[in-house]
Amino acid sequence: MKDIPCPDQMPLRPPSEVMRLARMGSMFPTRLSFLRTLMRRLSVERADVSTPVWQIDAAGFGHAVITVPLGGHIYSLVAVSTDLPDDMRTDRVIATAWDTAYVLYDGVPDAAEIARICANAPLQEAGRFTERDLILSRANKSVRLFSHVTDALRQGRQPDSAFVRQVGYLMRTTAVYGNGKFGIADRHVVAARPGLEGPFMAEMLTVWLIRHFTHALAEHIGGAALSRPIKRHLGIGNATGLGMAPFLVNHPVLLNNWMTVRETALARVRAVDRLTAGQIARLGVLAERAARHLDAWEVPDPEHQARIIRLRRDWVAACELLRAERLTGDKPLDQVMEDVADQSCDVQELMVALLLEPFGDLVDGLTECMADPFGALAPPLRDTGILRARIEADFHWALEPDYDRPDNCRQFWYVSAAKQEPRLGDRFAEDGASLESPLDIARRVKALHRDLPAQSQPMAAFLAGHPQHGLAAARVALSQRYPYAEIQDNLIAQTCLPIDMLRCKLAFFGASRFDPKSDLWTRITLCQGAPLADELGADADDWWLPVFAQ
Amino acid sequence: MSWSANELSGLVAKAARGAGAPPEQAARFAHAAAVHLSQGRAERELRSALDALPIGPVVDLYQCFTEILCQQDQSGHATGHVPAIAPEALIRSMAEAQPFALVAFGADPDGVRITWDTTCPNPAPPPGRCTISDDFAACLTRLAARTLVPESDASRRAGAGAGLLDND
Repeated sequence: MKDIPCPDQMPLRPPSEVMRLARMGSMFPTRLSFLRTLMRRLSVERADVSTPVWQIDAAGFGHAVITVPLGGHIYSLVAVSTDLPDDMRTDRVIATAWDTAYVLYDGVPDAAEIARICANAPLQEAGRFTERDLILSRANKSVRLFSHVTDALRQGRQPDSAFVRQVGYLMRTTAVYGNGKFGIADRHVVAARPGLEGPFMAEMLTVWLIRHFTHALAEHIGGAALSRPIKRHLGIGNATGLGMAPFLVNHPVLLNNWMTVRETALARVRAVDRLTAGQIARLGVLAERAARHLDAWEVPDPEHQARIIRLRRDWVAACELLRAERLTGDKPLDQVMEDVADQSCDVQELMVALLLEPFGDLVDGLTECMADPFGALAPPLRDTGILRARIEADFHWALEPDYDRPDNCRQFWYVSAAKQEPRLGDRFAEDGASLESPLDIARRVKALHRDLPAQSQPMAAFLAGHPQHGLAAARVALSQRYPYAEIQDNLIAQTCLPIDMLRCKLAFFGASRFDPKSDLWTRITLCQGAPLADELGADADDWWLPVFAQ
Repeated sequence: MSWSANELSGLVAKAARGAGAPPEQAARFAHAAAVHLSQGRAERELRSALDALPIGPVVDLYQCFTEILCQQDQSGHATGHVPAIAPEALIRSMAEAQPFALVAFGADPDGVRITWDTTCPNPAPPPGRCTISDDFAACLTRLAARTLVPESDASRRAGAGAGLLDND
């Protein structure tokens, strides 16, 4: 066996700094993001995408099968396109019909399997699926852009590039279900397969294939090919609401692993002693690309647009830190991070993402540590004395708020009886707080701390009298082994912005162009700038923060 | 009907919460339920545990296991006795659903004796698919529905932070 030395690294940024909502809500995609990992794998394999079934009529309705080999297996996207009345087009969970529906199938489906999927996929949550179905998804058209693109192609011209740049996708997914939902395969069925070991890999493969389908569908309806630059800039949109936020709270080990990998990657890069001329030049190119990406990032929400404008301005100043003459000393990237420490979280997190980009050799291998194959390997703490000490050491952020104050407990998370849509309510103005979802970890830890006896007591005896503290006690027990497991904020405070959680998770997916529609809901773009099916190869990984190439 | 393990576990967790179990105990029981059914063990044992909530095996086994897991020796092994407060098959499922390696499980007077190695992840394969009776599925769905907040116009309009149509 070959001994590979572990690269040097600087100290990791502490959880108290990293795991705050404001910072998580400033994250950008990095080369560690799941889509990037998947695209590298597909590129190494030079995966050959084919379309064995294309039963789509002139209006764009019907079904298709798109297959791709990966890691010795073949996966097929079965896509079903239907005619959706405008008054039914909603991105919400409460929707009951969609423009298109998809299943990522394990293998190549025969006619009977295609017929089964075509009957069930458009029903989504109301359908029933099998273990051969790995992922279930749906997408709605960006009506304006889809019509514009197909009209332009019909008229023998390319779509308006400014419009393409403004919207960025032909369709947006409104759910991508995995891990057993509605009868599809449990994740463990594919979790050990080459290429799908990492978190959300099957989901990412699905969205990349959906993007491919949307391009093909528009070209089919328009009767002509899209130009390569336009096609490459057309990603796949996604509309995301509160369902994504509880995931981060309910999967603390996974969250810990994602954040630990990201912070370890940064710590390795900060430890680089000297940069080569090539690395310095590369950083400069990426800084300029980031500036162009920010310039093209426009959103309708005035508050978020103002934030983007501030970031554009601040980024110009931050780029000065990446000038070649400032990068010739010892540990220059550590110095860059020191120098942006007093800048906004947006600037700092954009810089983190940029600094990782040229150092694939140092950091890409860490992505193998982002899954959670074992579950929470943290036994209960032995007694309440140890529990108290751990709370006071690691959960002071949870002990600070007075949760009896209305502004510290105003919001409650719940699941609506309407199609089980996750929602957020005002406990002082709405009914339903008694059915609150247990995402109030901070409040629970403080309540646990309050009830701890003065004299230490065995944990089991304490929990026998206080079974309601089981969740908080388990979360505290996690903290030593999984230091990045908790979002260190009060998630029921009036000031809590769920969209920060969405952005964190979506950045790990590889999303860009965050376009918030409220504090609870955002649109994003995935795969924008990603290689097309016929572009998988050696240079396919260079699409961080894509800019439109004319 | 064939259920995936995660789907079943998710429904059982909600059902247990709906029946009055605290969230952590409900989640542990839900993992065990998937193990239990994928091993072909009787669903009536799960049903009885749910019927007993907010007391009974779901909370009592959690407490017993906590007591044992707190008594690790220096090698990380945790051994203890679980009284016969639930059918042995359910105790076994709960034990097998822990994230740690179950190294011993055997009958002893008035219950079972269990040893986990808390330094070793559970090497057992994850639970597979299973089938449950329509009656049990209906029971789970009914209990899980108790965790859902009834729909209202205000909730529909404002609760998700998004509009009702997206024709842009």
